[in-house]
Amino acid sequence: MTALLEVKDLEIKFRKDKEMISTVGEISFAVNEGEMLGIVGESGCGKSVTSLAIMGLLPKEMSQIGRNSDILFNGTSLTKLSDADYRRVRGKDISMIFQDPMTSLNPVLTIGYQMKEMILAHEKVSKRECWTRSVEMLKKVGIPRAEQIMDEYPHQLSGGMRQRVMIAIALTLQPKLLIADEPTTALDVTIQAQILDLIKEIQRESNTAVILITHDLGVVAEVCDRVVVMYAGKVVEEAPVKELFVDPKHPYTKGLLGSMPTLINDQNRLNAIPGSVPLPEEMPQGCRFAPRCSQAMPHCYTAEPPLVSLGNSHATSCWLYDKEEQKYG
Amino acid sequence: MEPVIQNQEIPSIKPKQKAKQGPWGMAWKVFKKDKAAVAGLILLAIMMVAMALAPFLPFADPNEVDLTNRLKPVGTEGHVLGTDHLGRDMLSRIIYGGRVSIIVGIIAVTIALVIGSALGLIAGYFRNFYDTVIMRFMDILMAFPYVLLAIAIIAALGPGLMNTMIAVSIVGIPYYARIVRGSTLSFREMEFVLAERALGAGHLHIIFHHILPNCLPPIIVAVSLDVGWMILAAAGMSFLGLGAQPPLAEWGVMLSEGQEFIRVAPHVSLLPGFAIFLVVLALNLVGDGLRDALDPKSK
Repeated sequence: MTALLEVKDLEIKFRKDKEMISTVGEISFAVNEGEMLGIVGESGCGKSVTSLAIMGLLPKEMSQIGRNSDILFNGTSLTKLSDADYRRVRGKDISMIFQDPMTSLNPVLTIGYQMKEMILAHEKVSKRECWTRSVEMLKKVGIPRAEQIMDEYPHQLSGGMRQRVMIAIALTLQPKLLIADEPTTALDVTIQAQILDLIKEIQRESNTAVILITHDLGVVAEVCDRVVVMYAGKVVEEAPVKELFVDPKHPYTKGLLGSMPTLINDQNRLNAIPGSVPLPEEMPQGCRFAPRCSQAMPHCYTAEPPLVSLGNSHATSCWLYDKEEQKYG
Repeated sequence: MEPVIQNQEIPSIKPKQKAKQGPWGMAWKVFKKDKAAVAGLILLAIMMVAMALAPFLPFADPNEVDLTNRLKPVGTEGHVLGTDHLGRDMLSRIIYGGRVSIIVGIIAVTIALVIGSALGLIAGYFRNFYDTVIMRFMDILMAFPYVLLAIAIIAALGPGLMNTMIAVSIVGIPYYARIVRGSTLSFREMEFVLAERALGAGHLHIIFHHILPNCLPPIIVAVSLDVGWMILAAAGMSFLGLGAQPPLAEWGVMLSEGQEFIRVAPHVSLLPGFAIFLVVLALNLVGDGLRDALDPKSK
């Protein structure tokens, strides 16, 4: 398997009162062709910002990407692309769907128009062909009476339908990578499952790689192949999905899994990780999770842990697993 | 027992019509309920049709001078609304004058609308440098009292109908720029703009195909209220002798010509004044109705 997308030492800084504050600190991960990668983390840990950075959609005047950062897509560096070239990549090679299907469709334009426009932005084809392709795509994502829906406005559709339309639009040009930024958060639980199944099905069928960004571990367990766990702008653990759930290494991942309610034990209270995510401008010196970590050592407060490979494509950044450290500790 | 409904036609349900109803269809539904607005629309329609068809209707020549029939009162035979100080038929002059006034109003609004919206879209979408430069310039324009600004522009360009039109439209530009910039600022933050960018749309495409259609409701309301204002302003300029020049039949000109005879023949100045009043009233009623129909908050 070759890496389709490689994110190398990605650092994202945001401007706050003339100062540049690092929100995402030198993270690296890769997505293989046809793979479904989950990125998990609590709100504000930099998941969405990372996905926007991959799309090249961070507001230029507010943000900056670190000098050593690189994002490679199929071998070409996206960070060095011109605006016009980047636009050609978006939608055609990398597509994205967003959290809220209620607001990600333009309310005053028909579905048909918005689908047609997507095709015309990248290809020169006749209106007729646009129409047939759009209808075909709508049928593929399981929309009944697709021909009629082409003439309807977003407000006439339900949330689940709209998200299906968004997926249809995003996948019309058969991109190699789809970034789904919390695609099911705004939907009912029953619809959530349908949408996830749909994404999974399309991914299998067309061999599209998918980055699924979510804070819902249940979603990850259900559909992803591999998981990246992020905390406060850092990757803390990376592992195949089964391995992560069976044998989590990083104390944060353990905490996350421990705070999920289980059906087996009759719990009265849910476990929680004490404390909250530090603000970007108040990042602790060493390991960013140290102040909340139950197994923190003095060393954790002074030096940032490196990403340690544990074999079996499982890696974590924690001093507990660093061999050198274990000798002395 | 025979099946009863054998020959009966089963009424087919037509969901199509309801499904087709876009945002404009819904706005029309609300608009229809507003009696005053509908009355205004009808009034406006009647006047527009009369003015458009004036050359084909049996009206007297508006510029035909008949010095034997000067200052005839309303109700004179052959001159329903009387004649002016040169014996010209008032009804015909008012209708032909309306053509000029309304066309001036519409063209002036169109100029202001196109330039103002473009500036507003650029300022609101790109923000920063563009926003500052454009909006500070608009502030400068707005700082002048509008009549003074219009007079100053006409003074620079020279009097005449065309220059009046340009002057009042320049005065109107900041109004549109502000409205459009305001809506653009709110729509550019909407997720669909980000979604469009993520799907590879360019800035210009997003501005004209996504943000502009969303800005249309406030623009339409502004236009309907502003045409009346522009007519009034253009007539005012003509009244001051800066716009249309006699003998052209134009409401402002007629008003200013008639004021000399206000004691002996008040209808010569009152009738064009009443005509202006009617048109502006009708436009304002329609504008109010449109505002209620298109304002998302009123639903």
